[in-house]
Amino acid sequence: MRKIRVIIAKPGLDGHDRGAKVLARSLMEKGFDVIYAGIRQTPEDIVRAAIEEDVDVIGLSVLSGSHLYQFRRVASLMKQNKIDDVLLIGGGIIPESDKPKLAKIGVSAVFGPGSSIDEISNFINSKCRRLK
Amino acid sequence: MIGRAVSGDRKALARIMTEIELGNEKISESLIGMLRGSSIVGITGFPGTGKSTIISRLAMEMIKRGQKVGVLCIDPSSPFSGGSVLGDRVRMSELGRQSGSFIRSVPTSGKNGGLGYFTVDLANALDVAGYSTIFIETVGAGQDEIEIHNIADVVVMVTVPNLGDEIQAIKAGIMEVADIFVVNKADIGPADEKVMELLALNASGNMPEVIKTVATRGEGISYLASAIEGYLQKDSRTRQEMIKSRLKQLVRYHIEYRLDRYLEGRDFEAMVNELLSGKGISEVISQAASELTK
Ligand SMILES: Nc1nc2c(ncn2[C@@H]2O[C@H](COP(=O)(O)OP(=O)(O)OP(=O)(O)O)[C@@H](O)[C@H]2O)c(=O)[nH]1
Ligand SMILES: [Mg+2]
Repeated sequence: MRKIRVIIAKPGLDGHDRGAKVLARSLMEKGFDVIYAGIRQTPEDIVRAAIEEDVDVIGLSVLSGSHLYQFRRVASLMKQNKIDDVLLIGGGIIPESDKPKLAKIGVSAVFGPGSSIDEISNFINSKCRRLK
Repeated sequence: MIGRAVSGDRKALARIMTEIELGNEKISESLIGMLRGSSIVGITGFPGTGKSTIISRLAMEMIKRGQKVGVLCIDPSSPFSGGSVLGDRVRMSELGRQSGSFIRSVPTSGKNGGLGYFTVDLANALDVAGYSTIFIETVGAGQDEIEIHNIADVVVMVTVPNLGDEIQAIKAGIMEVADIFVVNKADIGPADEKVMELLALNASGNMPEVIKTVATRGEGISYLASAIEGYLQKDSRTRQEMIKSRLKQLVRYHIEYRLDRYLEGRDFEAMVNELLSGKGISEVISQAASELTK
């Protein structure tokens, strides 16, 4: 009955959220409940929303080049709040060389512009640790 | 877990809500004995009229006036995939940062009527956790959205200038459930005309108050907050009666939930065959009835 819940947020200052909206819509079509939190969300906003919405997945879409800071901050707030059963994933334009760093921070996967929705939804379905 | 939610643990409250949505009736039952009797404000109106923006502003105003505010935002689930895009939070960034707020998005999960099966249980969780005013934003699909009337202590119907003609307004249902009308987006069109139109349509004499707002700029919001408080104060029902009326809807929803789950994906072949073999209808569906309470 309950679907896997995914929050999609766009931290940072850039206001282009077409990609994030398309992703939200595509994930809905794959049967997820997608909470769309919108643009210019601070890491604090995102983690608090993730707690209140009791999500299974936090998806951050980052274009602004500030991705390392944003992910680090979100991951550390997740730790502070003892959120250890929620998947953190990223999307947007993220240089290949940063991916190992993101993995170390705790980002489970990064999906670039070329990723297909099947790839993303299969990943979530297989990695989601909560829920039957 | 409930104890932790009562003492302000957001994570515990969020988990309680998840348990409710998973169909954990024990939790729903425990909450009923602990209700404090918060005020429930229903916000309804066609899509895009500004319900979320109004709630965001209104809730901030209520917090200023000393309330703790819980919000349930209902959005539709796709009948095809079962998934949903829950997008009301986008308008509530500032509200989401307040220490006195808690916002939860809720999919309808296939239920009709503009709300989810567990809307009352979720409101109960907010109530028990100390949120003294609870806003419920309905889907906003229109005509059949009257259930909010059974749950909320006051229903605010949001409309905008230039939207809909008089025929929509005089149709049975949606207009009748409103306790307060809001003409939002007064900055984009002839709001006064809309107000007059609403007033003129009502011949019975007990016309709800009509309030103009520009939610994006916060105009009219404090006036609306006072109108809501005024309406609640005039209500002569006791707390217990108010709680009972929303629990009536809770019972109906739990029956509806079980019935819908039972009907889901069933092809009724066996029942049809029994009918054809001469069995009575009551006999044929008695099996179904007994399965509902299993
Ligand atoms: N010009 C103007 N725009 C407004 C006003 N209030 C809200 N809006 C805009 O109207 C759009 C829809 O607002 P929402 O608050 O999302 O409306 P809603 O009724 O919650 O929408 P749904 O939940 O999708 O049915 C947004 O772009 C708002 O910024 C207003 O008073 N004036
Ligand atoms: Mg809305």
